[in-house]
Amino acid sequence: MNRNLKTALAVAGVATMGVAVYSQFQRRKYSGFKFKRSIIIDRPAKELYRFWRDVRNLPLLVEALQSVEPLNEIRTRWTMSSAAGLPITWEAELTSDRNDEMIGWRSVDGSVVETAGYVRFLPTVGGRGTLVRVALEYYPPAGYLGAGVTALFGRSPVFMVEQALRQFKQLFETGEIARAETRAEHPFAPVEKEFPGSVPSY
Amino acid sequence: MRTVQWMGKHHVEVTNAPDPEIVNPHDAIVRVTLTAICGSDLHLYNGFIPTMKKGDVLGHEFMGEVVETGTAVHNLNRGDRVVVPFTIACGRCFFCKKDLWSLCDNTNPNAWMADMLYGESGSALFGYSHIYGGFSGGQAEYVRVPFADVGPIKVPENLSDEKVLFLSDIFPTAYMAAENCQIRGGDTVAVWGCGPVGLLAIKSAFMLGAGRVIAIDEIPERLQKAAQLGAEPIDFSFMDVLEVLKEWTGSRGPDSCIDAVGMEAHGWTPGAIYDRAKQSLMLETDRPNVLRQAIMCCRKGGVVSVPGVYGGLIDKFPIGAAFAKGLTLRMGQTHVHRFLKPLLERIESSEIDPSFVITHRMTLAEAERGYKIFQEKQDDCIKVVMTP
Repeated sequence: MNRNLKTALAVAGVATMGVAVYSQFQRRKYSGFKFKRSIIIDRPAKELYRFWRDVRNLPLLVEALQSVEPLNEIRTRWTMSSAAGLPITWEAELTSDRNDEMIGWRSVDGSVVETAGYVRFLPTVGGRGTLVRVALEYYPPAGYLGAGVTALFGRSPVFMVEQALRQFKQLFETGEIARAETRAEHPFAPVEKEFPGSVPSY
Repeated sequence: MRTVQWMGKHHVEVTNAPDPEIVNPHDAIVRVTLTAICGSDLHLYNGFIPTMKKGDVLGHEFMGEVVETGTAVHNLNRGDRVVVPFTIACGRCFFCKKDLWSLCDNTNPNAWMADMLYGESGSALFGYSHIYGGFSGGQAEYVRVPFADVGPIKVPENLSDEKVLFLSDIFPTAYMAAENCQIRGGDTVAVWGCGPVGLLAIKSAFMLGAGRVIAIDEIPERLQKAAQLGAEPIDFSFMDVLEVLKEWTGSRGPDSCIDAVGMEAHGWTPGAIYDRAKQSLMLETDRPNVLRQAIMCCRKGGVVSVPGVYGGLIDKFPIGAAFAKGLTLRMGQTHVHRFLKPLLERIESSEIDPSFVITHRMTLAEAERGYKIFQEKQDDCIKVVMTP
């Protein structure tokens, strides 16, 4: 073998190894994002589960979530507004459902947003209400690898889940979601729940 | 309606804004009959508090007449005369139920901001930047009051506005600061700051059984007012506070200390100069000059009570002294709701008339001047109240 061929083979070998290492690296980088967030809500798990189980309620908790439509027993269609303006839609399936305890879901294959997650309703130590935990795993859609889901929706998924949990707590502990506006710009009627005997006086 | 709006550092304007309306079921709309400028408003005026936007309506000490109520408000009617706490509390969360109203979980729509800065958000406040919710404040003709079934307290007709206005903030603030001192009969209490809160804290300390109150400031008129209340004044512009306090108390130090000054402490001691230098270089956000003094002066096993306000980070905090002397530090935003009824009773029984702190009365339209003279302590200004 002449020297040029040897060099060429060596380069090719290194290049192949390089590509192999690089793609491993890429796959690890593109392994998605996972996180969990939780909050304590002073209501029975049964009530909180029931609200969450009816997916049509969820847009009340997430500003960018336009609608969640039940398609059948286990399939739902999610529509979110994107930062660019055009709504993004995908479908998800129920993967687990334990009464008053847990709801799990996963987006169907081919969805523009790949996501899986669960919400759990757990008793707290000392009986001070229910611990609500959301775990979410998501993969940015192609074309958004660098900028990520945050660029797509204008808010990071962590932020959206944290906001959702806060608003869930406000809704169920006080019957309304805190707003600082002085005009009723969003004239939706919040789900008004007066909880008997729960207005303390000072 | 006319409102006092923040426009930047040392810049407020009286401008029109749309009248508020009911947004949530527990809201009420209050027509303001009297409002005031708070010492903590000066931190906003001086540009120390982040997340302010041009056009934000200021003010968190206000009272007036209920003109509208939301569908879920059953304890108030149109025409009721109320004083409104500056902290917005839901009354239903873990913290409200524990009587910790200023730590409410559920009233701050911008809780995520405070979470980032402090770990967890407390209650929203009226007119005090977007970190505290971005709620339109009380230096206006009308205010939208959330959770009107929990906050506002009805006040009797025979008590003038000036007598009860300060239930909204400074009287409970001063009283809670004094109560936090755990005063035993005959105790000596030292109060730094003879502004409205400090003066009311002096009064509260005596009400709670203090045998002796020492008041520290540099403004002659304020020290004079403190002396009128029975306090012994120390003018720090020419007296060494540490030395004098120690000498006056047989080397023991006061039983408890109240820091009614907070983050914009004055003074030109080496420590204070250090703080100013660091602040101008943005290496320190608050000036803890008074806090350091309080810790150094307080007797062993005593209490340092901090009604505040502090916002960020401080440097050179004498944790060693606090540890060595076994001090208790008690602090925080006022749990106004806890004190409304008991303090209204004290006013009704003529035990105290908080209006003694008022030095200037003007209309809302003169607010620019009000802020200026309050900030610069001109014209013997101690407290400015305004009628819309």
